[in-house]
Amino acid sequence: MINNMFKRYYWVLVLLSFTFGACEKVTDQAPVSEFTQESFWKNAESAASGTAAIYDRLQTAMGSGNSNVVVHGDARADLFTLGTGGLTQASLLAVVNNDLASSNDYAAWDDYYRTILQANLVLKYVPKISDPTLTAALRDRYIGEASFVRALCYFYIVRLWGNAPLFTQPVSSPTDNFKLPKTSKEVILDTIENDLNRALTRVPAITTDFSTRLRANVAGARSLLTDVYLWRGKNQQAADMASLVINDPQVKLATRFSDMFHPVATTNPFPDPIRNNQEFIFQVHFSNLQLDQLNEISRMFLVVSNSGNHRLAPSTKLQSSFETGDTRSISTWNGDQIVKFRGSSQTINPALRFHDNNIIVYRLADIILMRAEALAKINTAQSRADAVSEYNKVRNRAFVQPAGSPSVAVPATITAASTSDEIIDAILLERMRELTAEGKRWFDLVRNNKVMTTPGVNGVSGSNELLWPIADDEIRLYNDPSFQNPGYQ
Amino acid sequence: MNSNFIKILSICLLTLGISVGASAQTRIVKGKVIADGEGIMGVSVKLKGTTRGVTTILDGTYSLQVPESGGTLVFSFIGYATVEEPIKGRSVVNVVLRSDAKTLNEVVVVGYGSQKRRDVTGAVSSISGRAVENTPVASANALLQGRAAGVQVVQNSGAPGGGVSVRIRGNTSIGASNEPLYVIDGVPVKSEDNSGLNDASSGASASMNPLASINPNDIESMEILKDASSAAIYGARAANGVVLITTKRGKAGVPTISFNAYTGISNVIKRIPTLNARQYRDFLNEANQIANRAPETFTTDSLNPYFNGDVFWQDEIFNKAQTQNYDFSVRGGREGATYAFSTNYYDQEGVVLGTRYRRLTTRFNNDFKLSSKFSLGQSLFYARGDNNRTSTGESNRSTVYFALVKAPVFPIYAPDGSYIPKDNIDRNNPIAVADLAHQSAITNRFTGNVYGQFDFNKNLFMKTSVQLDLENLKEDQFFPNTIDQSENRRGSSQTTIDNDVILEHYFSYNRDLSTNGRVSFLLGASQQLNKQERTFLVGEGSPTNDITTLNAATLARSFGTFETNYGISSIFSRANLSLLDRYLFTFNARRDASSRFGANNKVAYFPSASFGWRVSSEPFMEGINFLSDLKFRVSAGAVGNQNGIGNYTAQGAYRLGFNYNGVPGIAPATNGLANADLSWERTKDFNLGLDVGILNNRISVVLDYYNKLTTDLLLQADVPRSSGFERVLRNVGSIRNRGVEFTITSTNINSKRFNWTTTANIASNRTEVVKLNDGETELGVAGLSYSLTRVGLPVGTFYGWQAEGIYARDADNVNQVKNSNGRVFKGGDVIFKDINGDNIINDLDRTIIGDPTPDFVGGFTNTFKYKAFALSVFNQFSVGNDIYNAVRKRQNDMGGGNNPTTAALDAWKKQGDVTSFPLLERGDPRVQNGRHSSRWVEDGSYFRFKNVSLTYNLPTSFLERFKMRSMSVYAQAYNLLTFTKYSGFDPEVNTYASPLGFGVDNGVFPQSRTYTFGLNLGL
Repeated sequence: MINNMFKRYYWVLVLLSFTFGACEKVTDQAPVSEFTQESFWKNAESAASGTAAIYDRLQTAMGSGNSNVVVHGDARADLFTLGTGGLTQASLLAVVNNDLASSNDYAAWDDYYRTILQANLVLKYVPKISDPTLTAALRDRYIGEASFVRALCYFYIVRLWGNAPLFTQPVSSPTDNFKLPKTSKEVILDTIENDLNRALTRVPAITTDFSTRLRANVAGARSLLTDVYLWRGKNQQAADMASLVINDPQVKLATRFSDMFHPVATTNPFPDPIRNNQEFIFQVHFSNLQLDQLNEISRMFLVVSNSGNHRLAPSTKLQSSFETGDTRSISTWNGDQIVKFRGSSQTINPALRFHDNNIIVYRLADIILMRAEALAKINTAQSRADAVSEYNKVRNRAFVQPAGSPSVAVPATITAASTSDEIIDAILLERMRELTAEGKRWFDLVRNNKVMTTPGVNGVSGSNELLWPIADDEIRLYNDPSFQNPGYQ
Repeated sequence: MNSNFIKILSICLLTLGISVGASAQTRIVKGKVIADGEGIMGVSVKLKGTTRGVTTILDGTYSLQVPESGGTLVFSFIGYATVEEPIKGRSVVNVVLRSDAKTLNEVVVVGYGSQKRRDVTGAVSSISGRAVENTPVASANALLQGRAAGVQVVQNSGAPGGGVSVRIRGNTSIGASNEPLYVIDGVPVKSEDNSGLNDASSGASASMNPLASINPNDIESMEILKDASSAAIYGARAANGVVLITTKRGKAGVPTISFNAYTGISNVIKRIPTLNARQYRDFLNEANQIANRAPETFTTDSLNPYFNGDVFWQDEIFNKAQTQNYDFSVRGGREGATYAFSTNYYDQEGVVLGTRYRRLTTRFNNDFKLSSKFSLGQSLFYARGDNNRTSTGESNRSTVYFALVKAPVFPIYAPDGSYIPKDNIDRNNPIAVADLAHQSAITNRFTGNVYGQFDFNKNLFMKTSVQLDLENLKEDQFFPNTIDQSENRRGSSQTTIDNDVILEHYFSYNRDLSTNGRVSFLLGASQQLNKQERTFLVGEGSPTNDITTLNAATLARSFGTFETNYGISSIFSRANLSLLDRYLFTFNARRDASSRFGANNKVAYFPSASFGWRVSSEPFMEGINFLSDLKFRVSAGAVGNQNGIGNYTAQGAYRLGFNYNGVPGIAPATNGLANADLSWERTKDFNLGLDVGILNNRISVVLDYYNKLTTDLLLQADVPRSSGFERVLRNVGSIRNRGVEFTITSTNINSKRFNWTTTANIASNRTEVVKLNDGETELGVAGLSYSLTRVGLPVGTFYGWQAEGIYARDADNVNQVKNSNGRVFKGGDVIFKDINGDNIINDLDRTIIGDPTPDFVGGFTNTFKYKAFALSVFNQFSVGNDIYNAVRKRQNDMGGGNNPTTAALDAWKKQGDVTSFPLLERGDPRVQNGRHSSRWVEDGSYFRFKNVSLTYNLPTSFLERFKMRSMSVYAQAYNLLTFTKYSGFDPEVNTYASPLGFGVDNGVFPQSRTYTFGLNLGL
């Protein structure tokens, strides 16, 4: 009977197998609108967009609310006090007072390491891509760019936290080791130099196309290498490397400071930022004309914003540091606001701003002054004279008045006869005036061991405090209190 | 209509006719069927063992051809006990039907089939559609509230069409959904809120309810599958229980036409007393003075027309709102071809200004028997929902929240009649938000189930169905800068198309055994493919407030389309065996393969087994007549939850949008590491049950105990950030739920004129977190520092400092207890308990200060019938749950210049004052009296008259004159009375979707009281 039934109704089975066969793969779904780890690194386009993502991560590391060049590079020094919008921000107050704790919002290194992860992914996978349209030159360029940005992030990490985990490979599965022990800062700095030397032979030189200054380029890698050498006391190498940047035909000092930064003016208080001066060597790009490309830098300083009042205000020390005739003053601060970065105006209400300034990582004045510092530290008669001459290039430019205005004499300062220490002090003061809010001042003071002797720097009582604490979350996840930096345990 | 179809149909009918005509000699039997003292129409009268049958007509009479030899007539009607009456030699057979909604032969819908109640061995609760019809709520799942033991229902807000949280036997998950699976007429439908424009900025979403699109009056019954034995057949989606909703279908007979209409008025009864303008000025001036802050111009310059208001914002934002509902249905058919058509229009204005929900639905359920072997049918449903929404919490679109905290000194309108925009302390004008901020959602939903059934013989059939659940949700927002001048007139538009296609086949074999037993087998397979497509646009910079569509925007902020899919392929089977009508066995098994699972764990198996022993059928029970039913049930099994895994999480997500300077960037998300081991959450369930029926089931009792252990909970495990990742989803946690449930149904009085029945249920559930991430004993929820999930405790307890009163004088702080910032607590400060005794109040002194999980929930319904009147009183309660009154904290924590409640009038002023409100110090900078503490935790227990309705059925004499079948008028009061100590608007409140943040009141759209008047008409 069963057999008979099977014969009569075999069509049922045929029907069933047909309908299920039609959608057999229902449980194998590949994403439509995104990639997976498996499916992504396949061709030239993935190499390009994987590399672009490194810069996107860098934008966050250098310009976001919890991690940015101002908080990490300037705010602990003597440039700022709290603005009215910062009074209620306990974490920012602690930064300005150098009263850091592991619970501080800005103690997280997350965004630097996210950038490093993306760079490591490019370094791991791009060499393996076998797509004929990915030329050797392009492949080299992406590897060079990843190397450069990785070096930049580790340079921040090593200066902010000292010894730290060194990831040169991405984790690729939950079973990988996530808890790398700390690597000594000297080893990290060696890795940074290696990365930069790899980058130097691979990244393009700056050309007349301004966008070359918005991604890794030869002069930018040399600038970073200058910075690293100077930090490590390799003064001769720093001076030599800086010279290569200074002699780059595409990099020139702006005629006037105001060619880069708008002075405060009553006629148009909110002009859009100047983005394309040839003094800029490497900038992280932002633009309100592109989606989600805003940063927090100008938000830190301006009363004009969607989120209320400014968080940081110029210190009286900064205000009074500018001499008469120094054109940088009016482009740097006004009242209780730092006005160097103002973002683009909104069409609907020009008083409101899109916070979209480019973040200047390196520009020529910085490199010139670094060269001057290196030369002053070499401390021969010739090098001191060269240092003063480099220093004067930047200083004299600051006193170039607007077209049509009467010229102002540059006040006398150091000469070739000054001592190395006098020259270094003058350079640091000049760097403060020149580079305020560009994330340099704190590192200048640390590099020259002047944090504890500089008036206006609050609350640093020992060398342990030159480093940041490691954020609570990380200590918790390592489940090891000794992972914390000394002095914060 | 297709003429071939009619041909086939007529051939079939002809065939049937021939077979009837070919039988032996016949005679006519007549009679009348009486129920509740009257003849009743639509009763099915069948000759047992044949397909021959008729239904009674208007006056309850029938006439049927029967063989000369007689036979047995079977009288059945829904809601009444079936009667079998041997004809013997009679030509007139009259019967009386007894109303009995819970006879043991009642059919209970179970997964892929139905069972007789007497054979059920799992834990299944049933709610009849009749019990909940005409309830003035939009959503089907809100109707479950208080009706079934072990089902905790919280209407998250009183917003029309707003979200409902349903917990069947507690929280089984932390990271994934805790909502049950809803299956409507065999179609597993989506119940997730697909809104993409819930206000994420506030962390709180005024969630929408996709089940709002179902017309409650279409519901025939709802079955709740609570234990693994009954739910395991739904496998990897059944861990939170399954709700089966069955809609009404046609019955052979004359068409029954029904028309229902009701209209109602809702309002918010309660106001939270806050300061008036004069009191507020004194309050803020004092608070500023104590904090050494300059007085605010808006409290000193009372002549300024922008500061001289005296607005009680709650009165402005709440209004009386009207609800209207119209239903029309026709059901009927002939033997072999039945239909049910219904359409419904529902229009509910919200009690908060500017909110409204409108719904239009239509349903068509048809069943055709094409031949003795082959039948087919369909359930087609379309709904359109039109929702004007508001936000909750501290979002800039919130209305209720701002109506509570906004200072009364700011008027609504400027002297020129325009709305006053955002005030000096950054508070939007809630009236302007309600009137001007555009926030709409339009849902179009189509659900269809088309089936064909082939009967191989009387025992075996195969059913094949194709099912579709299509939801199209279009949402629009626009925020004009009249409300906030710093806004750039941002608008958003988003369309989500969520499409499920299911193909399902099963074989079902049922056979009565010779010795009073039954055996049945089920074997089937199904495949489901879900596709979700989203289109979104965000733009701003429009030159005008008058055009709210995005063509006016000058700047695109984001735009795109997105598609995501998942698929499930399943095989399921069940075997039921009933021996001697007293030994009952049920075995279920399901195999689910899901595209969401990791490559190493692609397939999941979910078995279950249960055993029932009907003691009352044992021979030794003979003679114990008062006990009409006694059954023990025991079941064990496994069910799963695949909801916590994103469609592609296991594969590791590389996302777009990491762009740089115009170059598109693609990168792994910070939680985007691939995890090939990812798998479902697994719940092992054990259930013990007892069913007792006394006095011919006049009293029936159901008792259940359960113990569920959920393992492999999906949790986002934090990883060291130096890896570049932040979180990885893993199957690590474990949670246990234990509880008891009790239901009693009793016909207290059943006389000819007066009938009184009671049904009551109560349940208690204990949830205990057993394990969290490796090495962790606590789990917080982002943005809610006062909610904590800790091992050994329930999910989402409240966490903070224990407040123990106010220091009356400085000297009362004998230990000179300090705040973490070194400031000593003084007179007028809150006494926070120094848990670790170090005389410093810091993070170490935080403790568990409340639990949002109730100790007991339940409900009871008393129905009284006297002559033509019926009174139904439905009470519902929740005992022992705490509420974190976050909005009262924001009112009274002295931050931001918010308007406090009138409790602030009793603030501490001078040494020696014994009071319950600390001193007024603006901004609370010194010792943080307003911190997250037990000050803001309140008892959320309540008892309420949820629904009281009085119905009058018009007499037969009246009906006959107008040729009507039935007509009744009724009045209803919904949320009539609530007894609670909770100080907020209503104790039934829930702001956050995450189970970790349950029971928080952060300015939620309150529940309202609704009076309705309605008319039911039957033709």
